[in-house]
Amino acid sequence: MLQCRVVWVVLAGALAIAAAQTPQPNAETTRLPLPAQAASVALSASANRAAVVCHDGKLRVWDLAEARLLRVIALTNGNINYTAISSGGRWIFTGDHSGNVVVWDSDTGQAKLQLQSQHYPSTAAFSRDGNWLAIAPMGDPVQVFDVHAGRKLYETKAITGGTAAVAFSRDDSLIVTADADTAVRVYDARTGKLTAVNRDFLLEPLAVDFTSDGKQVIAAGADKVLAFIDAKSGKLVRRLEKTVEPVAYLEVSPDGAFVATVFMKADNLVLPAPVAVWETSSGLKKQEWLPPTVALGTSWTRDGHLISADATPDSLRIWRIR
Amino acid sequence: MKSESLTRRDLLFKCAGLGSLTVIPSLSLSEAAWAWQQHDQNARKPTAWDEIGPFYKRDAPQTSQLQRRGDPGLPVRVAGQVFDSRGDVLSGAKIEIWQADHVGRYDLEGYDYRAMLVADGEGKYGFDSVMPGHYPGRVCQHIHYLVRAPGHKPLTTQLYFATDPVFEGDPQRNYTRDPLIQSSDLVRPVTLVGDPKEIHASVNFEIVLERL
Repeated sequence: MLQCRVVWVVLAGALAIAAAQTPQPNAETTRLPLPAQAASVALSASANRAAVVCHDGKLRVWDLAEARLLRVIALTNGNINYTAISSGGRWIFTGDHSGNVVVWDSDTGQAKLQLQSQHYPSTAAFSRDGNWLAIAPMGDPVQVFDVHAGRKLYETKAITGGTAAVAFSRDDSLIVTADADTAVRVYDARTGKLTAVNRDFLLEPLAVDFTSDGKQVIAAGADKVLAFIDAKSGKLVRRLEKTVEPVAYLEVSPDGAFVATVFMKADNLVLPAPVAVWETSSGLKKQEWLPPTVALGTSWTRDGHLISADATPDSLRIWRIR
Repeated sequence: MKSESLTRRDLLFKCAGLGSLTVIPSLSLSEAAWAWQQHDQNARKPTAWDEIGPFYKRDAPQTSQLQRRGDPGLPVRVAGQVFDSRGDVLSGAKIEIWQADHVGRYDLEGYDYRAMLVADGEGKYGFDSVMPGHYPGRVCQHIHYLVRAPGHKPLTTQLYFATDPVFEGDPQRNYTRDPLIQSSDLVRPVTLVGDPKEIHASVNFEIVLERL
């Protein structure tokens, strides 16, 4: 924005050179051309790969470092509800509105796991090592699968309304869910045994993640507040200041020092809402950025940058926010 | 190969003949068959599921008056009965409802247009509200329901209105324009009642829960 207002050609030139040498905050770093508009996007934590489902019913796998299209996979049903990608970028989850769930091997383009759920997926997440996959079909219990063996390990107890968000701890020993009955639940990831419950939210929590040491859960949602919860007891540890809009997604940075939140506009779900970065120790908001269109995917990279993707009719733009 | 299908009555007589069914002495086999048949006729199709949506809020107040005096929007009275799938009324069923206001805004700070109702002795419930507005990101006007009764599977669903312009007067044909609508049964007819100065909409929405 600032650069648009600068009238001095010399200054603009200097800024352009500086920008080329040092990536600026909120800078568009990559533009991936697409033949159809992106509908669902997942960015791998390593930031090396992006899974992009477009309105033409195809899944495209991109190498972000080289802005290179790696693979195009034709989906049987393009009406995709949710896309997820493993940290290393190998496994890609797609779930459509008919309840067809597929885990794709992005190295080969082959389906590794195929399932038919009664309901379409609300959310899904891979374990940090990529070996397990937790799927929450809308209104149904969370089901955990062994991706390599292609079999279900267990499912959690049914929760009225189902689960809006799920995340694994860094060591893959715990799973946390943000549930429609407004509770946040922590499970033993190996057995699916419930280990802690928090019921401090009045409205539905929509986003969860663990702190980097796995000792706390950060949860937020329609209550418009970030809550830090003791993962062992489920007790509320602290709340941050109330936010203007509900939180739709959150993710803790690799070093645990920050948490990124993606908001949603409660009165107009199709308008872009800000992405914000909070310091976990102080609880202070350090950065806020409004994407040009709705942020379709946001992720921390392994080297501590925060990237976000939004779509134009013929491209996916990757922005470096921090 | 075509299989031979048995009627409920045939099956009953066959089971009795094979000794796998005993009828209490005060009932003849014919009477038992008739009673079973009647029970079957009362059977109801469970209400279609629909997703809970992102704005459920627990601890809603127990009130049937969601519309406050002076609230803008078309007044709507929704009434119905709660049954189980065998046709028995479920008195005491708890019905949580929440909806957007007439311009499509959910109250996230308070409890406007949110309520908890309890079905009466005949399983009946009802509430007065306003017709919910449309909002970007969602196709149709709707009211959310969460219905619970002991011994029954909790139900999350949504009530839609046949008068919604999205359906262009033909909800049977056009209900899939909202991808979240799982069944056209959830789109209910709307009757306009009252005199022209105080007109309001009236909708009947029967709820049928599945037994656990």
